[in-house]
Amino acid sequence: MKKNFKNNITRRKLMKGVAAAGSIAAMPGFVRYSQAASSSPIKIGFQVHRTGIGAAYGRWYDRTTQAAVKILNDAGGVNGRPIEIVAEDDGTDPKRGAEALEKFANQHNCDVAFGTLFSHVVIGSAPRAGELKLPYFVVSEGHHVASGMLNRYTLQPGITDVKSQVQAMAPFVKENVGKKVTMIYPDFAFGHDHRDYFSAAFEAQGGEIVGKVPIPPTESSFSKYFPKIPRDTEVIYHVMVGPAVLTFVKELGEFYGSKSPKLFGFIDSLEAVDLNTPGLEFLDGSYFWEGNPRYAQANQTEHDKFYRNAVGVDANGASVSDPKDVSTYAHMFGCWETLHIIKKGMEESGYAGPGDRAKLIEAVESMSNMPLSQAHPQGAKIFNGKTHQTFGHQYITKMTNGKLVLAHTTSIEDTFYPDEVDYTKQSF
Amino acid sequence: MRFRFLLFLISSVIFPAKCFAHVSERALILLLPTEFYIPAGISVLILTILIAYLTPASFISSLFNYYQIKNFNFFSIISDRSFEKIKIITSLFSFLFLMALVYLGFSGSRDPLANPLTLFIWSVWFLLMPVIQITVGNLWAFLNPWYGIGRLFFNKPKVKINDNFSFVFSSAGFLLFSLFMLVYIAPDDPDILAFVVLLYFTLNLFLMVFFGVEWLTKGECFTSFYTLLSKLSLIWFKDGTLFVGFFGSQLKNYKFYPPLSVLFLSIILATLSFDGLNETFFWFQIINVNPLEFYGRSSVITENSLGLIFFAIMLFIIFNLTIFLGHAFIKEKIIFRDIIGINSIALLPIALAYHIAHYLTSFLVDIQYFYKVLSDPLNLGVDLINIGEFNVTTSFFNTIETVKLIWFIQASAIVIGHVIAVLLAHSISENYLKTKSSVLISQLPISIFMVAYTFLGLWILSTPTVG
Repeated sequence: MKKNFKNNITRRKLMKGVAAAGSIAAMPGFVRYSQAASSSPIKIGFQVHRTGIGAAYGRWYDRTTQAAVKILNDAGGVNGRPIEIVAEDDGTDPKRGAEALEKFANQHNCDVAFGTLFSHVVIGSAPRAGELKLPYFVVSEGHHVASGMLNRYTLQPGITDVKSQVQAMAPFVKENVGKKVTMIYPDFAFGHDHRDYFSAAFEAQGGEIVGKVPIPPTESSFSKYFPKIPRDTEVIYHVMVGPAVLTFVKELGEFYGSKSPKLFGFIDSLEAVDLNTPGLEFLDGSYFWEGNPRYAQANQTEHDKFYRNAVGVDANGASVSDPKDVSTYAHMFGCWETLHIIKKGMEESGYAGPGDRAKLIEAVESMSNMPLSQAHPQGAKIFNGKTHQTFGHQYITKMTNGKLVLAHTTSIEDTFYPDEVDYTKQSF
Repeated sequence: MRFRFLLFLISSVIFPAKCFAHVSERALILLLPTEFYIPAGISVLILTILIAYLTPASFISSLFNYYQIKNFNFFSIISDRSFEKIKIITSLFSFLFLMALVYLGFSGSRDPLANPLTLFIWSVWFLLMPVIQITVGNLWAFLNPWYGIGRLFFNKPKVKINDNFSFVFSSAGFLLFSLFMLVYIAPDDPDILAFVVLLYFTLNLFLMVFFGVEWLTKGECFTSFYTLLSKLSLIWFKDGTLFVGFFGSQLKNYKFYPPLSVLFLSIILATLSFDGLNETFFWFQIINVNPLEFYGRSSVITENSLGLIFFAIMLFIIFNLTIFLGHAFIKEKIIFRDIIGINSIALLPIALAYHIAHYLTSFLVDIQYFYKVLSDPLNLGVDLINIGEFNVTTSFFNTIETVKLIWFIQASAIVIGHVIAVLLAHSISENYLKTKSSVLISQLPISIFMVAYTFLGLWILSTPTVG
């Protein structure tokens, strides 16, 4: 809300400036806004992890969201109506998540809800979104949307899901990293799924899983597990998470010294962590999946540049106001892109108010190609209206001298899998 | 084709969500050689105990000497009555301030980190007030939002409260507060917090109708807590005269304190210790929840309620036992209920140590949000103090140097708190015991307790945690 008011001031200033510089009025967004300057705002309920285990991500999701809203409002908002963010903390808790959606719908009269990251909160909230008939745009990467377990009111158009991400890694790992993989994973559902699905996909590529090393979730010392890694291992696929992840890397480094197999992991383990932390030098030369490369790459697009600048992130993926404050760069673009999609959906459907929520969902469902642009700085995407899930490029970067350097960009097709649901067949 | 087929098989199963357990400063703490730091901290405490044991009685006693600042009498500048008037006026302002905050709780930003009420209550008042009380004395007497109204309207109690009963009320009050803070699903929500603050304020106003203004010091849990803390302050006023002395010097010559203060202080210390313990992987193993798959507060309401209450009961029993055992084998005749209250005050420095150690990290972050909201308290998009584009940072949790510094400050707070507690316990026993040998015997169990509690504090700071 704060930002929006500031934006209003900016717009007023802008309008003053227009008298002097008529050319600005030629900007399409501006024309739309000036035609409907007195319109009430579009209210977007932002379900944000302000407290609880997701708070570190919530801070950056909030920053990205505020930046995107400023950009959108400066360009005329939605059909001339400014966007207003109503943030409610969900405590990274599914029960509170559902309560937040109720507040958005019944108390704040929000047009849509948006922004949830943690899967358990999405899964706990989505049924309520369906009951409230409130469009719920999540930014969670979970496969729960495309798997069909949610409902017509829940969409994930701004970020790809983990299923497509993992499967898109298998060909690269086999062709460029190594053919004999040992997987090290936390010994619970999350790790088991990585174990089962990556190994299936990798073996389908002709690779071989030579070892599987499960680690108890409460473990904080790992050296005793490393002798279980077979000697002929060429690649270690690691998906460790939690507070002991740096200890894991350090002890792995101590175990192997300079004669380590190659490493492949998901950046989630080290999201928002300074890669120059002592002990992490062992990761030099290892590969990571990144949803969006943290470091500005040699082939950086003008859109990534624009997006970084708007959010206030430097070329190393850290805050411009504090170079040691590393962002959650691999994920937070999803907030930016989702807000742009909501705007487009509302404009295409002629959205006027909560009565048009179904029209908005149909408009988003009819979207398909989303080209690389200011609205989609992470890269082009193809949205599947039936499964409510977007598909896009994945990035594999290699840690080189303390920076993550792009090694491979997957095609969008690499991430496709057969539809598991057709939400468009569900009634509103 | 085979690959696609396999993918089809995969897709028939619900695919997992990502695991976003973020890397917190704890990941860096786990890289620190805390297995050496913890024994070092405990050694400092053991050394203190040895010094207390090996030096003559006068040595510890002299630490708690206090000094009168002569040639300065506050009441020569301002009369006793005017002083009281000032307290009433500042209290009334405090009341207005609180009501304004409550209003902002209901009407301000829904984001708890942009709402003045949430930020003030949890990040400023709750975190700073105890530290202020124990250092500069009873500032709360001026800031107490009920006091002015109480003095003006409810000066004379209809019902007198027995001192012992008073701690029953404050204990119950603090326990309810702890359950709200540690267990309730959304204590940060501005709406809910505003409602709870208003309810608590009104309830105590109502109780003042019967018990008069003295209800505040006797039954209202925060005033009780803060008044106790101010008894340890480094500076204090008495009859207009300024005194200075070490933490607890004011208690010199105190031989008695209401016995049930031990219940009140056990609950406070249990709260401040459990808030920390409840985030450790150890606790998650006890309640059989995977710490890497934590589903939020709503999933552990029963576990954490029972855990907090159990912890408080255990602490109460263990502390009573240490005092009982300490006095069971001495030759002097001591009545347990006469000395348990005064002894329990030694728990206060420990409580404060845990308070500082546990909340330092959240303070470092939330105070930035508070700074931000200061510039726009009404959420109007203004920038009153001209802070411009201010981005909250948490980078001090990302770099090993700052994490190390923060850890040392936290660990030092724990160790220093226990050192003060050991000395204070020693000094308190010297107030009512006649011989040095009685003092030494009486201090043995509590010294062991302090060593164990120091270990607990340092261990909580070093072990893997959630969030």
